[in-house]
Amino acid sequence: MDKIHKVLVANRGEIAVRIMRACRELGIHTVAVYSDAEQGSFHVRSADEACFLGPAAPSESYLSIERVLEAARTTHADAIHPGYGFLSENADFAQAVREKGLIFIGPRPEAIRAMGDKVEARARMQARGVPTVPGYQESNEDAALERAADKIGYPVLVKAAAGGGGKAMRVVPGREELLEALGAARREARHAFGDERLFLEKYIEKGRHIEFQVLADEHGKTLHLFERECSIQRRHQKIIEETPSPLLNAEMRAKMGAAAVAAAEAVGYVNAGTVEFIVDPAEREFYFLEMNTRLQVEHPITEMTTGLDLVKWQIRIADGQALPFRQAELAQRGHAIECRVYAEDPANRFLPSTGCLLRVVGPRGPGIRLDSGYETGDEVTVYYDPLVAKLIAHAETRDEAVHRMRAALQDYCVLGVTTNVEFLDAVLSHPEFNAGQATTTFVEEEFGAWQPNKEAFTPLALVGAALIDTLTPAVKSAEEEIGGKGNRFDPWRRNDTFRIGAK
Amino acid sequence: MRFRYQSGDEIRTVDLVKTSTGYRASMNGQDWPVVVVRNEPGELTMMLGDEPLTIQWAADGMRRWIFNRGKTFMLTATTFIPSERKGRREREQAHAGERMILAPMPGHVRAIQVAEGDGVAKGQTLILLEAMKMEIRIQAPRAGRLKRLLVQKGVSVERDQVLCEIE
Repeated sequence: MDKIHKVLVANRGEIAVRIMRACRELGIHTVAVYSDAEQGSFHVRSADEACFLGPAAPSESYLSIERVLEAARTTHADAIHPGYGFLSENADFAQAVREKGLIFIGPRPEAIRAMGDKVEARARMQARGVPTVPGYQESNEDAALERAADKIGYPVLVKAAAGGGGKAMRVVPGREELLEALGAARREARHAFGDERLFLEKYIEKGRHIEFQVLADEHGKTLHLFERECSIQRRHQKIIEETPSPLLNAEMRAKMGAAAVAAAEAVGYVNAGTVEFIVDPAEREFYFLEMNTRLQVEHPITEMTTGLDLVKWQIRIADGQALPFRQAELAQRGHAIECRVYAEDPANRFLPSTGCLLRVVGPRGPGIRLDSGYETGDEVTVYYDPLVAKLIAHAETRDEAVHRMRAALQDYCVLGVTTNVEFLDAVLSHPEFNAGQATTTFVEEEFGAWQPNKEAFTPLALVGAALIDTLTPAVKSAEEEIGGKGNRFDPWRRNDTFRIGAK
Repeated sequence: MRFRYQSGDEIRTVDLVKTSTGYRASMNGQDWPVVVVRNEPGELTMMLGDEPLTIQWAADGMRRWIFNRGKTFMLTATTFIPSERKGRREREQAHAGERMILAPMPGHVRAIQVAEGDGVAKGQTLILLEAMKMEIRIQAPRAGRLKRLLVQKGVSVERDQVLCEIE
């Protein structure tokens, strides 16, 4: 590298670990930053140096521009990688980094600003001829929005101008629910982004979410690295992604790829970014949704099929290097799927679960990649996103990739907190998914009442537990644990899953 | 030796008797010869009859987490004698669930939309919690009157903390 010798990773969890791995391979030193809640966490252990930021609340640590810049100054880092989330799409941060004479590994602040304002981005795309979803962005008055919604036709989607990641987004089925949805979305938008402007989009009910990875250098070359299909979502958040998309043919792929490149060029984009489209499968029409001006959670599936390391290219581009390949030289090889493993309970409205990961054993094997943010003994806290890891399977065909993923999920042991691993396996076994026809409403429709196999008293589990209690002296016997703790029938002293009010 | 494990509201017993080659395990009137062939920290392989089974496990107080081939089991070691108290406990639990509204997860109280003494309708939003960057609505499980409010706006709550009481 010419200019980059030490990178401060302004993030946590799996993405910080993944970025540090790329840095190590490039011979670049890494600095981790951490909050009170994450001293000694996996991303800290993965770095060459670590710098304390502040209290656990993100606003006082990972979201504090001042503290991150101070950490870069004291550790003499020459570049900052923002990862995803936190400050990654904050134009003021990107600008402040540059003003301190440091390299921001990502796009220019102007491009972040233009794409971050969804209303402005829509206007810019329309000017450039990139198709956008029919919608309304001209006013924020309730009355105007109500009139516009009538014109667009229900169901309508309420979105935040500063939004992203499914936050402050509401699907409104009819006129009666619009005002309440606007109120809730405004509250959430003000809280999450400090900006309560909203806009409306026609809700494409059986839509497919397909995005294109772009890579642009500082020398005027913009390429796309093909698509990722992210239709499998719960509460507007992706849980399974794959590439290639089973919906696209070569012609449509070329058209959408060209539109993605045009979208990036419209804002002078540099570095890695993702252009999101919604596709109406019935009419095979695609519409620009938004551009994510950062590395995407699901970037590994593109890496598996194109053979390119996106994080390394981000760093090389930020270092001033030119992309040495042409669009025609890029190809998709095989099929890759990613599953997002969350500490959450799919049987209870996907509510996050927290606690210590008592034991983690990851799957291994040909074509399996695990990007994990936690190891045995680490704590999943309430402060941050409950993403534990991303499991990626790569194989020759879609069918083989699905089977490879299912086998890997069944080998993935996470003890101590409830995860969605069994749920992911159930989704992958569904005929609609296997036919490649699942849309963004698939999970809600097919798995709304999903329950795990609750059969706890199998011979394996009972005999296993009894053997553990016999062979492991460190495991306390039942008598010992309950004795000394007062009334053993006191429900508040019980150490099991008993919950008042739980169904 | 006799072991009792609980899952949900059910309790089962398993007996383990040492033999010359390993153990004899019995439950539900069935029994198997068991031989432990490998025992590493957190990982144990047994022959359960003719079947080789490897489990990953962890213990957390009374809880026993056991994993095998995509299935995770969580059992709680217990000394409860099942027949003794089960009926009464179930009744208490059902009654309490109707009355007390608990926090489904740790978070902060962002807004309170009812006052003590208010009548509430089934499904009415009582409290807005914020947890993990999400807004969670706490709704009334049935119609009634808000007897007590036990939290204020802005406070932090733990999972299962009582938020309010309906009568």
